[in-house]
Amino acid sequence: MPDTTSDPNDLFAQWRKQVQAGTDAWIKTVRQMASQGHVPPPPDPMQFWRQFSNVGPMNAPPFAGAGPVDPQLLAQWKRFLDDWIAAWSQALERAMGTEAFAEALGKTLDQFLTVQGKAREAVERSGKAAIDAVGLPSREQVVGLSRQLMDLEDRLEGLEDKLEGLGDNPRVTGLESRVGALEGKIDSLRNSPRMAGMEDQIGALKSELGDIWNSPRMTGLEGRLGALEDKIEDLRNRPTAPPPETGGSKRRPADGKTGGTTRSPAAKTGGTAAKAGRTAAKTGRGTANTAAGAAKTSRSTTKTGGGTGKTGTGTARRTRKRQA
Amino acid sequence: MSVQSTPVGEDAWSAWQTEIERTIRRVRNIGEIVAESNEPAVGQSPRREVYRKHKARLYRYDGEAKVDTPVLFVPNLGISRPTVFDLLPQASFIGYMVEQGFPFYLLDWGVFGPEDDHLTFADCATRILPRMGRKLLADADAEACSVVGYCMGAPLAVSFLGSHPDFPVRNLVNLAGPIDFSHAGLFGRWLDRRYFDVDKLVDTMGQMPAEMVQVGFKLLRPTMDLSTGINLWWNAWNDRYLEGYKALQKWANGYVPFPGEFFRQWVKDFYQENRLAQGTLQLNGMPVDVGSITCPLLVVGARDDNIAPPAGVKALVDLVGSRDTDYMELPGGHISLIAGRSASRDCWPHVAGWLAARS
Repeated sequence: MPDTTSDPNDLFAQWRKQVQAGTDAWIKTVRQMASQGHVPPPPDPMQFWRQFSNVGPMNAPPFAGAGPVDPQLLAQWKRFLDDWIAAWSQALERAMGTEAFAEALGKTLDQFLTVQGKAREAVERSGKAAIDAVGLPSREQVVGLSRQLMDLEDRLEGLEDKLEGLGDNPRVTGLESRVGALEGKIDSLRNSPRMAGMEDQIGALKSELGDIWNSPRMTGLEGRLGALEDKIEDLRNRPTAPPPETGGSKRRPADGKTGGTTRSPAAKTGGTAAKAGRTAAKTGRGTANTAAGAAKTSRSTTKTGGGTGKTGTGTARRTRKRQA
Repeated sequence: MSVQSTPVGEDAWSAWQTEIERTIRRVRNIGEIVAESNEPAVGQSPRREVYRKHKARLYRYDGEAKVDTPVLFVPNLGISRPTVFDLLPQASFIGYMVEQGFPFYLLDWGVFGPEDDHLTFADCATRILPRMGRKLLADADAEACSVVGYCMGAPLAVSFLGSHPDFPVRNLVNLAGPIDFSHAGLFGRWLDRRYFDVDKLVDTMGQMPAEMVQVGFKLLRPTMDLSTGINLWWNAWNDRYLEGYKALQKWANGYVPFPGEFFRQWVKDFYQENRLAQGTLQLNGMPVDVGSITCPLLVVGARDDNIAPPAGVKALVDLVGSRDTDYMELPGGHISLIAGRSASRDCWPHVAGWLAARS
């Protein structure tokens, strides 16, 4: 059977060779930049690692060592790999926990940041110029907009907090308690026996008024009032008195239509006035009839028109009262 | 050295036959993984958005609530997405907690862009977290909630509660969250102020880019990719393993950047000056007094955690003012504490049981 332990060692040697080659390439690149004055000279990471590079194989358990071989050869191979990795992991962890490693890591990061900072500046400058040229918003503008939105959100939350905090404000609490006290007082007044007595009294008064209004006496009074109004209307509708006679001739009718052959200017005037009065009365009556439901209009019209209008007004007033 | 020959006979023949069959399936499955362009669906548990502030979202997961006190789960900010807590229906920390009857709320910090560079740790702990907490209480119609912080979410939650002693918190759980940064492992060493110039990084890059986060985590365990590849080959015949592998890989490769100012404050105040543990942390002018946290506390550390070593996690027990404190250390690493088979067996039931007894 071949000695299988040689395989992982070969692999390890190959891996170490690759790491060394990669590191050399990195150092060469950074040194070139350092020579151009961009970055400080780099540390040699392999110098640090060389002291640990043999630890892994030394810590690893021998493959297929003493004891019976597991019938599952692949399982044994897997176990060997796990142990080997665990040993390496421990060795690396020890190495990486040293001050030297932390220092080397810090320096590497420092170099990276120096290079990165310059590169970013250059990229941002050229990028911004290109974006400005095509009229698109730059990264800063978009970020600024986002921040503004976040600020707005914060301010809204601040308002929300203030609103929530209002509940705890002593002034608001005091107002609330005062309103509460007022409500309590109103409730107690409403439920007080004095208030109940007053309500009863008002009720009794209302019913008493209703009785009076519907009583036969009231109806009689109303009837009499109506009759009086009719009489006043009749009086108003009577022809106006004739002008005083100057020549002892017989009395002429008031309308002036059937007068003597000779008429004085005064009689003429009187007749015209009477005519105008009748016309106005007619108009007034008509208006009053129209305004039976609208008492206000009726009242204003009757002032112009005469007695009939007044009757209309009275009727309307009474109707209103009854409705009330 | 020589390898003994395998036993000859039916058993050996059958073993080889099985192995050949598995190898054929391995080749076929890995070919499918390489050829497949569609990504596995992760984070499928039904949920609704309760509130949003900038990129952060508060989600409530659907489920029958059997426990009175709701849970606010605060994961890490940046680094990775919170889908790891809800990878697959049968492998979901969130799904498990919902099944146990917890009204479960997840704070998803979101993916940050250049517009978030000004966001600080202080903003997250004193502005976003308190608001999310209040919204949770209003949504759940609860008087208090339990806070569970994972990884960086734990120091965020502790900073929030330490600066808001009036916030009604019933229980606090720290899952692998670093508190005392004098035990910060390799990251603590690398981020030492003598070697690591965080100001230069933030001023140059604006943010901590996802690629650099990735490099940092890969460097933490350089053999991880090799070991993952070997394990994939070994288990590629198993369809169920592949399903989990694909979901986990989708999560593991989705790195998220840190907002620049957040990273600056995180490195300076926590890694370099260890202010939280020393009691000198001030956030937006508010002092963070960890001793003012008096609710029951559960701290869970992972034995092989190289991101948040258990000593730095456990420190919270001695810093809080709580009388009811509990610490447990589980085998495994930072991720396997919360995701995977061992998590579902060891961690989840313990956390759920501890919370249920105090909710």
